[in-house]
Amino acid sequence: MSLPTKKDTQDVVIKELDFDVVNGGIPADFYSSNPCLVGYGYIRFQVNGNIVPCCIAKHHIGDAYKQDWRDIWHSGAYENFRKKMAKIHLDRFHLNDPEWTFCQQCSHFEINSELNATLKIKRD
Amino acid sequence: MLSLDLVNEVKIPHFKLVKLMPKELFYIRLPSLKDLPEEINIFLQKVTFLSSEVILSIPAEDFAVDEWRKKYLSFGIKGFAIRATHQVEKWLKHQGIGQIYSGDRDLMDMFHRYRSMLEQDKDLIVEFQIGSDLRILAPTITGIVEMGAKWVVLNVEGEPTNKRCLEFRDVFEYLKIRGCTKLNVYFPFWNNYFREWDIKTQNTFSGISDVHIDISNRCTHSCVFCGLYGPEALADMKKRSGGELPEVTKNYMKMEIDPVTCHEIIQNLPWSVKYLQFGGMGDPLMHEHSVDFIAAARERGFKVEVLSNMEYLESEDIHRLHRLSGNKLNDLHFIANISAGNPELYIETRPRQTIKNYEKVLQNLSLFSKLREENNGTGVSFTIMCVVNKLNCLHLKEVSELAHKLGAQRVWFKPMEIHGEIHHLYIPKKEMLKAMANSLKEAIDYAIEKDITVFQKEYCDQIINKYSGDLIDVTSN
Repeated sequence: MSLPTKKDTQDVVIKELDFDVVNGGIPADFYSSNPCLVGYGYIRFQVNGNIVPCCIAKHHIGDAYKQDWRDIWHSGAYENFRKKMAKIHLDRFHLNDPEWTFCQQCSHFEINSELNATLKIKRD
Repeated sequence: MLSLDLVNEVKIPHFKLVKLMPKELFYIRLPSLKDLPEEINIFLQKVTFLSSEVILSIPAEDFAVDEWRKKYLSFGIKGFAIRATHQVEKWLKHQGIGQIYSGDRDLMDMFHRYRSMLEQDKDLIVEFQIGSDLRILAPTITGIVEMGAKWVVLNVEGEPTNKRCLEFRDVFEYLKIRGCTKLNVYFPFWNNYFREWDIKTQNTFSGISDVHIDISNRCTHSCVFCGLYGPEALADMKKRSGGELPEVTKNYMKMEIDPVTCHEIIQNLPWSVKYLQFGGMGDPLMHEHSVDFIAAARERGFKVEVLSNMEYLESEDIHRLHRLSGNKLNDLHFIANISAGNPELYIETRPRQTIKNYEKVLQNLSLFSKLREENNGTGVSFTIMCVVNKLNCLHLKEVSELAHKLGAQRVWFKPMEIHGEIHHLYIPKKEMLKAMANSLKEAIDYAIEKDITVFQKEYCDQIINKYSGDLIDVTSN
């Protein structure tokens, strides 16, 4: 029997408590106006060797037991993740694509705020 | 990572060298090896005693002088960075514009020759002096990587403008295509712009700042809010699979990271890493080698954070961890998930635990504080974390009081995260929210009064503002 998905449980929670309180305090529209740069500054290794590009990503990218993690870090799959997330504020897939709605509860909001602030420094 | 730029002025600043960790990079840029003042030589001997990762950046021609090279190697330095300007114009003219992929052969030959003058365990790094023309930089770097270079430094003049950064993105794209995945490329970390260069150029050849390693899924606690070990969560999983825990779940609960792989990961992380967090779906300190992993990360100079229930440490572990703090505060930090301010509530939220477990946790944390007090206030710091749920949400001030009693630097009131359907059993009920907001406010006020930092205070303020008003407003949402 499959376990309930996060979406299922969210529905239960919303009935119990305002969603604002369980989303980690991230402003609802943060990724509607800022790119996600977590793929450039963060990496997570799980006990089974899986490498995930962010804490709540549903899909892993590679297995650190089978491959040097630096090969995975520079792999095409990781690059695709980076490129996709760098356009989140333009494509806004986090608002309606069930595969990415977890971004609304982002736990890397603070890292991203810092990276975005640096990216926006004008030097030209 | 420490760096010291003495190229323009040979003067030793006031460093607290005792804070250098045994495998922490110390990159020292010298104008030349010729006629260095004696005080600099004494300084270098001192730092090599503290860290095995001292790199001296020198003009390339100085490296060729046997006497100088051998003298400084005998101090115990890790290696040299040779400052070299690659000759773009010469090679474009020599090879023809269509042959730029051959790179700067002079520089590659020099690297090859110089590398053979060093023992295998010593590093030779090329610190490129970057002008405005980057056309043959990427093939030159690729050439020296093929000869064994593990990292290079790009000493870029000027500011990271968008135009310049775009050019570097092309360089990195080339390095990826050529499969230089083991290479680390650093921008000049001795000036203020290097992080900006990393981010704007999308440098993935260093640039990782935060790393999280899950090391254990094992845990002996049964926190009611835990999606894996909580009694209701376990009962729910059993019910769903016909009375027994599924094999896949049992195996998942036993999983731990392979120690060899974990050490390799830590050793191969770039110097750009600022924070390394150890966690897991269970408690990281359940791993037999957890303190060794923390030691390896601290020895490299990374700031380390560990999220734990704090029960599994023994006195000798705590003394070792205290030493690993490197006489700093906050460089080795524990987030102690206690989620209760008194033993009764602790046991109620962790039905499998007893008063003895609670006392052990308090004893461990108190020992960290005692060692800090004996060491001028430096040592392992910790946060008392409280997962706010329906059992503890009206007793949050007691958590702040406990944090004060134990000598915590920080408190963290974290509303429950929803990982499974069963969790809604422990979310504070609507009718409790106003009282919860008041309890949270009391807890925060108390913490501030006692000079304890409140982590994510803005978020707590949001909750207080939202729920401390009229209940009708909340239920009407």
